[in-house]
Amino acid sequence: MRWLKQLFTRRRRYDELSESIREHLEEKIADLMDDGMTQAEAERSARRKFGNVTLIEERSREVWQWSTLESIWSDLGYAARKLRKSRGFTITCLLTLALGIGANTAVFSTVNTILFHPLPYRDPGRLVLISESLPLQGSNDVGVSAQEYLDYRSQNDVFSETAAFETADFNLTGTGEPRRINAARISASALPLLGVTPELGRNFSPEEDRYGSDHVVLLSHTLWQSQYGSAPDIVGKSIHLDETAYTVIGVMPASFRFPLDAAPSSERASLWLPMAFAPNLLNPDNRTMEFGVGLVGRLKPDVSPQQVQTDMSQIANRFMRQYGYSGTIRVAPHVYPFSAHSVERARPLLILLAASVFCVLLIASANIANLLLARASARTQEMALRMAIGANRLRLIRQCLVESSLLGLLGSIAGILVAILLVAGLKHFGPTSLPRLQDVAIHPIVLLFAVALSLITSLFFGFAPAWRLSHVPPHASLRAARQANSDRSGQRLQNSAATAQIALAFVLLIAGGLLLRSFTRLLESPFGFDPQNAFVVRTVFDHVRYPDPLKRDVVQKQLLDRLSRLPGISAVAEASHLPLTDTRQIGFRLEHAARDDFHSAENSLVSPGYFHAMGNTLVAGRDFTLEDRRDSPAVAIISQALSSEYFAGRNPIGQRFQWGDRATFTIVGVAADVHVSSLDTDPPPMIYLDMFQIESGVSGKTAFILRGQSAGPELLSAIRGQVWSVDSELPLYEEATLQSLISESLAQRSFTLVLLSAFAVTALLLASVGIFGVISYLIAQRSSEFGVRMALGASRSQITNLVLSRGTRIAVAGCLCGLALSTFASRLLLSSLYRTDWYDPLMPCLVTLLLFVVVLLASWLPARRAAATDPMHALRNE
Amino acid sequence: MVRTSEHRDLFSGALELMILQTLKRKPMHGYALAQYIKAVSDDLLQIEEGSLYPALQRMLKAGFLKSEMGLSPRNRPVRIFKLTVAGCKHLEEQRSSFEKMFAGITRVLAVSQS
Repeated sequence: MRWLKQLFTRRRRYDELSESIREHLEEKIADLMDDGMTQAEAERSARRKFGNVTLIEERSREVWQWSTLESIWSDLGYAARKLRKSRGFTITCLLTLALGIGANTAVFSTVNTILFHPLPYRDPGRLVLISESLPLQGSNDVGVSAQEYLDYRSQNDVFSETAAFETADFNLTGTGEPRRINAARISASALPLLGVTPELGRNFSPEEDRYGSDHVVLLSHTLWQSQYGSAPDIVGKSIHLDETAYTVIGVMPASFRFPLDAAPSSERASLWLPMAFAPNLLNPDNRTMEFGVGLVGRLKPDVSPQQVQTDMSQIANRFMRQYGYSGTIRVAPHVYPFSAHSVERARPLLILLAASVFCVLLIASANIANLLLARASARTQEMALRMAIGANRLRLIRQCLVESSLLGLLGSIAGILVAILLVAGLKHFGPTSLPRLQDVAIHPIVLLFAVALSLITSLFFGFAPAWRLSHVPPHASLRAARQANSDRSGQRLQNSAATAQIALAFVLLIAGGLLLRSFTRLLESPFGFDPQNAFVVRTVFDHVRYPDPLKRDVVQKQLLDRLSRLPGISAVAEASHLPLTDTRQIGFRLEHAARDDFHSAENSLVSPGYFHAMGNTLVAGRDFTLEDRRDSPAVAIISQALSSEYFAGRNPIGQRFQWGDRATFTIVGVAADVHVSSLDTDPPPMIYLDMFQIESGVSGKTAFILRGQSAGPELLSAIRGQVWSVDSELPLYEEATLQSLISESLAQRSFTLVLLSAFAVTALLLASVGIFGVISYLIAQRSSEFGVRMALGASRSQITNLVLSRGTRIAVAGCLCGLALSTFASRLLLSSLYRTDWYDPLMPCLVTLLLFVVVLLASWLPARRAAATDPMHALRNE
Repeated sequence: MVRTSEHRDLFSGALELMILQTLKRKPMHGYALAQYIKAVSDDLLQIEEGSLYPALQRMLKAGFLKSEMGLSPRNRPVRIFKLTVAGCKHLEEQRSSFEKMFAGITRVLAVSQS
């Protein structure tokens, strides 16, 4: 407890110490006066012999203190007082840091979660996905076919295990309202390959992975909870999918989201079934009839992705030779890291955001640097004075460090708060199409990085001036301080920081401008349908409930009739696939073309009146009618894109093509182009078929389209009433307005646009603060010079021009650097631009203009102050 | 005042040792102590007078010294520093270790000269 006693007796000790020193000096002075000195001489001489009293007292007191800790504490108090006193400086610094740290932490945490989140599987880095493209048909990543999967599985030398998967959906009935649910078929090898076991029950056995004995399911944790109340005895119970009984054999853990690991929860599989390929898919004649099987492989140790690619290509070449793939049917296998395939589409967006937010961080750092430099130079005098009265070098540096770290620390806390807010906002307002968005959490490493960067910046620039000054002997420091006021290197540093800010702001503004332009172009381009006053809702007439297509046709037509009588509805139609929501390709062969000359086109099975209900226009020919029956000649309507690609210069009406072995179709109409997969891809060639004439795998899956004044979500209960009065087991799902389909399709784009614009505006603000700081500082430094100039006859406007010219020089240099940088940076944007050139000349001109206005404004305000200098006052200060 | 290396030739502990030795002979106040060391060392050791005080505080803290009020030769009230028992003991230990060190250094110097 001695330290406690010391703490309380310290004041007395200090007093005694001062007393001792005073006694010492008095004795000495008395002695010296005895030797014949005057009082004043004796005092001076005694003090010189004794040394720096304040310093010695301080050092002696340190003996009783935990010295470093306490002096840092006192430094901290001093720093806090200083920061409180210069409120403008502190607030600007803190806001800058908070924005820089907060925005970066939020964005990089998002990027980390989405792009680099490890999948919950054993050694996920060794998992690859194999998917084929059909280059001659222009189809990418169609998966593989069932038989190809079996070949890859048996012939490869690179995988220790392989598994197949396929997405599916079912009507789940028997648990209240009928529900449409997403599911996945997975081979029995999938779970062992992934290293996952069910949390309840067991995996599929190889016997169950065969057609006919495959009526078993694994439930997702979520489905088990929501539909079965987490019943512990669910295993062994039976559930109904598409009117068929399946036995539950287990429940998967909540973390299991295979195969769409990054998809939003609404698209994830709710249950899993065995792969169990249907016999017709294993018929050699149907080898390339259906793709869509996903192949996952676990790499053997020491096997590289290149080796996998080579091996897969060899196998593909072998089976293409063996089974005589010809014409446009040529497959090219691709190898992807399994973790990447689900986030591929979000990647450019995220990289763009990360790059731009990093620019903001750099600008923020430059701003902090500028502010601290300006402030430090202004404080050189104070430092010099403290040095002259005995503060040592270390002490001054420490003071600066403490002050900068306090600033950095407060900024970091503010930054963390901003980051938390931003992440919450991101989850709330971010596009649902962004994978794993709901999993985003602030990543500690990212936070640490942003905080460290800002701390390093503030420390470095905070203590640079103290360091410089501390190398000067104390008696010269006051003079050095005066020189530092016109210090060239400090000014150069500030100028380059300001120039860098302008350059980065330039780049961000260009990027924001290009995205905005591309966005407006997108909205101006015709959609191909009228999104106003239209409402869609889906249902499925499954094959078990409606085995007879003719009977299904009757029910569907009856429903169409009932729905068209709803008040305020002017048109009703059906379609198997809707633009901007789902797509389906079919392969077709033109009549008289070579036997193996297949092409692919988008396809939808539609009812008569579809084009009218969608607000699409038929540019030639006729619509489907009720006369087109299952026993009448097969007819088709094609899109303009298909017409111009295959019938350029000819009349497509009356031309014929074949789709598989189903029928030969006669083209009876041409419809206006529609954006199918997204608004920013060109409208593809498209074939519409009559759903009451043609039967296919997607028959029965349908969306009702209702157009009219009252078409909206309010109508849903009326629609339900009508549908369920005909069949109460029909699930109704994915209800939406066509307008909302458009905004959903644009969500990612508008999200990018909003974020990037926010970054650009922030950058502009920060840069203008930076310029303002530089110019104000310049004026403070040169006020006496301005005074002299004015005394010698310079007019106020000459002084203003002098100041403005400095701002202009920074702006010119910044814009030039920015222009050079943006030519590189805009390439990053390429994939996000729609019909907008990255070198669009208008944009740099506008941005340059904007930056000049901002820079001139930011320098004009302080310049006005400079011009208002009273020459007498400035000269007197000299 | 910039202290160049010329003035800093006391190795660590030397000042303490001299203070302890001096105070063992006779308790003194700070000024007298400074004068005494200066006079005895014949001005060979240039010690800044002030530098005594941190050393005195260190030894007060360690309990080697205590201070009490007394009178200076000029009859002014001053703080007199006195050795404690612990101080005496410490002095003896320090002395013997210093002597050993000096003996060592002297021998090495003697050998390298011959």
